Amino acid sequence: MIKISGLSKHYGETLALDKVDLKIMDGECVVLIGPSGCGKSSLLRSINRMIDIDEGEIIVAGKDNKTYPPQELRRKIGYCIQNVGLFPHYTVYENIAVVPRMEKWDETRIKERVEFLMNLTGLPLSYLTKKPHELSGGEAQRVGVCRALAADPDILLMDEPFGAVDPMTRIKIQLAFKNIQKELKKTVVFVTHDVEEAILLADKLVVMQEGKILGYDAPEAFAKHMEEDFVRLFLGEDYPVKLLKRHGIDDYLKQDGDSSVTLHEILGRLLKSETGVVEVTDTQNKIHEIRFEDLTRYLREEERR
Amino acid sequence: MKTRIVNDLKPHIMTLIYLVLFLVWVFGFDSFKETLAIWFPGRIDLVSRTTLPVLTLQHLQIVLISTSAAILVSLILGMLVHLTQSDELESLVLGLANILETIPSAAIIALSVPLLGYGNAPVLLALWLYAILPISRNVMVGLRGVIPAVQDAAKGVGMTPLQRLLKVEMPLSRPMILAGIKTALVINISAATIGATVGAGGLGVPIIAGIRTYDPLLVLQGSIAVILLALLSERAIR
Amino acid sequence: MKTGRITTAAGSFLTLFALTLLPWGEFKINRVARGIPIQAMGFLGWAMWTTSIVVLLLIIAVIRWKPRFFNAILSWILLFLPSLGLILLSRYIPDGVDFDPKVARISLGIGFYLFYVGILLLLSKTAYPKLKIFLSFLFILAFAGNMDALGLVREYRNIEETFLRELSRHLTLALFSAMAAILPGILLGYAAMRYPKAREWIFGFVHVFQVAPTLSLLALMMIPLTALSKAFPFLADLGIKGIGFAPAFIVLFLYSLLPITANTYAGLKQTDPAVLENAVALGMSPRQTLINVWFPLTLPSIFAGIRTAMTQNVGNTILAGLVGGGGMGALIFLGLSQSALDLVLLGTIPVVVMALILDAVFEVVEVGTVRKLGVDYDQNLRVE
Repeated sequence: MIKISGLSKHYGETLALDKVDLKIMDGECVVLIGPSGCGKSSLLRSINRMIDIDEGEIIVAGKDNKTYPPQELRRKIGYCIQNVGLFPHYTVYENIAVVPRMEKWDETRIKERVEFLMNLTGLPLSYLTKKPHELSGGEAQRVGVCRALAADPDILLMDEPFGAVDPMTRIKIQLAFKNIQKELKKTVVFVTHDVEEAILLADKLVVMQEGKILGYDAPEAFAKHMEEDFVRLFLGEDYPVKLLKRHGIDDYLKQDGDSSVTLHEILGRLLKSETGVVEVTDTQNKIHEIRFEDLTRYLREEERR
Repeated sequence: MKTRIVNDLKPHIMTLIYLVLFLVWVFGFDSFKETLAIWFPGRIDLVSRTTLPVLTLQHLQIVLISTSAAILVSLILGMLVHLTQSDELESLVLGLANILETIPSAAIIALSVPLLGYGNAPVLLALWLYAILPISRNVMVGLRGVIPAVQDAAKGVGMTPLQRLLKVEMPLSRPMILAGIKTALVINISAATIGATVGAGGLGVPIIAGIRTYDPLLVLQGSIAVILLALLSERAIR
Repeated sequence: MKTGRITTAAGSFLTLFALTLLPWGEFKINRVARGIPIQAMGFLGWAMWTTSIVVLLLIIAVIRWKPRFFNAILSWILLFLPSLGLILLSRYIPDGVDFDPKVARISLGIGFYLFYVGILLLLSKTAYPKLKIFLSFLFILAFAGNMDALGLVREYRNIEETFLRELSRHLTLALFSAMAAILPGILLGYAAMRYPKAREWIFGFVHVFQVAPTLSLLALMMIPLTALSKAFPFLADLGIKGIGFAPAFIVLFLYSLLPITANTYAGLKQTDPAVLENAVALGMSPRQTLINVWFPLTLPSIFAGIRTAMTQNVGNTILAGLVGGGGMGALIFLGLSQSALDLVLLGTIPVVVMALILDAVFEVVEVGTVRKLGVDYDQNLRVE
């Protein structure tokens, strides 16, 4: 668990963080969103002490993060930023292996780990001998994720990691990441200004403005916070529609399928249909009918959970 | 009002210092050579039959004549390359000039002797050749760097390529060309010192004489003068 | 070959011009005598001369109309021509002149030089130009045994041992003075980056040595060194005196500082901040970032600086000859003082060749190491 209490940070005259309190549970993906300058990046970077804070404390794995020697702290925390910053003079393999090598793992273990991560992120093993300048933006980004995960950290910090990639590749990487998170269940603190990305990936959403947290909750439960003008503006009046992207038809039908159809798509179909009814087939070939009311009902159920 | 003047002068302070030091040295040397002779035992009476101001003049003459000739040739070459828009000609000219620059100036001066004998002539030839690279390179780069939009506008107004060159592109390349000229001048002031080894005049004369006769006073006389001159001209031409 | 028209035209023109109108050399009955110009027709003889002109015209025709053939086969033949010309030139015997075959010699003239330049131009637009040019030079050296009457060869034979000794001295002085500047230069460049306030001072200091004429620095350096060696005689025993290699070494060392410092600074400055941020975030200690990130990424720039410093030094070491430091400069200035211009040539050519070879070697090594780093290296980044 990461426990942040009373965190404040000034940059000269400007207050970047204003007595922020936040509790991040293990295994959760917490996404920080907000406009530029709201303090989300500062908050992220204070967790691994890339920036120093003026007030407050951050407790990581039971100890105040100031008590760890900074390098040790950072090796235990994965870090992935927008510009990736792969070492241009190392191959993909060497890049990923950086932290394990510093931690003095033995080479066979490193090799296994690297190959595992490459498979996880969907990169061909032949890329291991390539140099960063030979990779496309999306591929480099994925190597960055591998590198962050290499030493099997419990905590992963990510700052707009998919920002520098074109929209189509971006969606692919987001889905890949979602699956990785499902499998690895790391504690992830994720910063983005893209609301849709946040809604897709977050277990918990944190909306920030001017150094303060305006709302911290699961995406479905964010209805409570919609009273706040800014939250409503930022997340969008069509927030419930965006939420529909989080839920696949398999969750709705409570079945074990691997369909990529989301309720968002179902909504689209409903809008196009003349009868207001959409028919879907489940894994046992049984036909279900879905109407607008069903979607509303479903969302409310999810909210309650 | 006062601070503004001071601020305007600030970047030029070093230049002024060099200038003052240089003038003091060149014109005052004869007056203080006796004092210097205490620390640098030498044969004061033999200290340079030619006085420093005269030597400086000789030095400047050599540098200015060769550099001016180089400017002329470089401008013509540069403009020619630009007018013909020939990549090949450009790489040929630049290639040859590059090779010339790899050859040390002392060598070029020495090699000019068989052609022109001893004295000022070989130095003039060598310095002329040596100055052609920086100047012509800058002329070509400068002309190349003129924004296509401006060239188009000139074309649209109805100028012939030659008019365009003279009225638009050359003036726009001026800063670049001046930078090249400055580089050439500074290099040549340095290189001209070696001229003394082949019988040319200039500030190299007392230096060489001093080396040959183990006379630190002579060496000092020439070295300080030429170092100050080089530093001064490097700063002054901005 | 569509590209290269101008060069080949220039080359063709020069070779023909040299062969027909320019003197290839001068015949001198002794070292200091006035030379009698030798035209190409003179040393080739009427028959050979016309044949050569015809052959040359044929070659030019082939270049124009069958460039691929020229490129593949004929160009390799071209590179022998300078050597051939020199051998024939050296066999020249003037009519009606009384001379002692052991003392008379033939000096090279503008005809030969322009002919060679013409050949080089013709070769430069074919495959492997640098190799061919290098080979053409190599062949001249190889066949030098057959060119006894050339003034150059005679001078060389006179001082063979001295020549080789001074050649190695020249190289040692040039290279070692540059090597000595590597560490201080890197440290200064690093300091300039780390302490922006000191930057102007550092560069100002280092810059002075580049602007000030080498000769004056050299001469000035003699003064304190002489005083020192008089005060501490043991220094003189070590060879550190006012004359000799000491002043030259020090001046060359100071001269090498700027390129290395400037290039190190530039290289450090352009290290990608994202890479550095990640290095720190991954948990590298400052020492580890220095070794694993800064250094390998700055290496290409530092290398470029060392390359500039060394090639520069090869040329500047000529002046060492004026202060007793030896090297090719000693030969050049000796020749100048004796009006023995072949000796001057003998001293100058090796310096130019060494500088060119050194630069080429660096190019090869640079491409090799940079490829290993896989960093996108821009040639124009070299700061000179």
